[in-house]
Amino acid sequence: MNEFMSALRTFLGDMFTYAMIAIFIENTIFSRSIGVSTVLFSVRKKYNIFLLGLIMTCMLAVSSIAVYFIFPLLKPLSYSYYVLPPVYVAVIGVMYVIALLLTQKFAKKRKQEILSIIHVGVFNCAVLGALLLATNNVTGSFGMFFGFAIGTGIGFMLASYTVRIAYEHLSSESVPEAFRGFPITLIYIGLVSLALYGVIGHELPF
Amino acid sequence: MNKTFYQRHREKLQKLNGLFMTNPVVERGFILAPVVAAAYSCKNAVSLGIGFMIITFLTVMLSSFISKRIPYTIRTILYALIGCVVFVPTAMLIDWMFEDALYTTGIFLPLLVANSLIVVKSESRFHKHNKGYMAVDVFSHTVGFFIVIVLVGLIREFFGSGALFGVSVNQLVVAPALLMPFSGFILVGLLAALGNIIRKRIEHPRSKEEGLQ
Repeated sequence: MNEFMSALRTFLGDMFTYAMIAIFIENTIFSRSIGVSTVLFSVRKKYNIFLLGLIMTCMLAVSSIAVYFIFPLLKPLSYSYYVLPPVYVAVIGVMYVIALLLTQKFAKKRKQEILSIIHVGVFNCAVLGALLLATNNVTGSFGMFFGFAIGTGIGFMLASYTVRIAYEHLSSESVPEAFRGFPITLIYIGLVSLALYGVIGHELPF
Repeated sequence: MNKTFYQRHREKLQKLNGLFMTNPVVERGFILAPVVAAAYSCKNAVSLGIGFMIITFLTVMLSSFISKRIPYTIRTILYALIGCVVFVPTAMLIDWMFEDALYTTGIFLPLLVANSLIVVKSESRFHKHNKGYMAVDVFSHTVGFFIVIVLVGLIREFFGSGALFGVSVNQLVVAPALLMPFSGFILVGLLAALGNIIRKRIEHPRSKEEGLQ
């Protein structure tokens, strides 16, 4: 029993630490710009950011379990670099189909909204990028890998919210026409990214 | 009022809009990750630009042969899988052309297999036209991406590292912060604003009278 509790504590500790790393230090939006087009699209179309983030987090969590067990089989191959993308795309594709089938069968309220969000948020480069990033960056236990995947989803949700709360102001008449909307939003994301870069302890290399 | 060249030939030029008027990066906001995060040197920018052109062009063209009777979800997955097949020879070519490019571009080259032009725009734009029009349209979009990523790579390497293609050329104004992703966001944002100004001038040029006022 004690061994089980100790293993559970280690698992939760690893998971929490790597989730925090993925949310703040390695945030896919602010540190690598992966998924920015999905964020901009969903903000423009006024999708429910939290539902999108939740669906993406669940998707990443489930996909990461599959990838965690597949990756060690592919890693020793000399051509693993070329094999990883189709395998990951296949994994995400299977999850995408399962997510749609489950929604069709079980969702009662807001079924159409959930379906349209699944189409936008599940099969895109943000999910693929998060899995590739996790296999590149996390070489430890399952808790670390799982935590990183969940943290990436939550990080995406928080980043989307950060963009969402400013988007209306950034698209308003008070912004010069040339900068209105997309250009100023990118500059805004850049400034938030710079702020996070400083907050986590980096110094500018000037 | 005299019409501009673009206004007179708008219909014919529509298939070339991807070059500038509907540029996938600075106008549409697609495929930003490689431009913002990985295009901090000319070598990376050219590698990713070439990779994107080959992967996207061939994938969109090949995927147009997939039957529309297959459900949308499965079609989208098949498009990305075709992208994965095209990715293998493309990555080998880039590895052969540029030493260490696969290492320095990191996850951003494999990420191109699921880029927005393949996953989203294939269905909503490219496959709606005949093969000839589609080929020119996709090609113009990929060239549009190439131009932007190389421009961003040139600016960032010149002012960030004081070099071009690894050769030292500028020792006066060097700001290494330009190599960071936040600078990529800001630079692409500024380019997008500049693109808006030029696009407006092309579509609605000021008349001479208006200019004088």
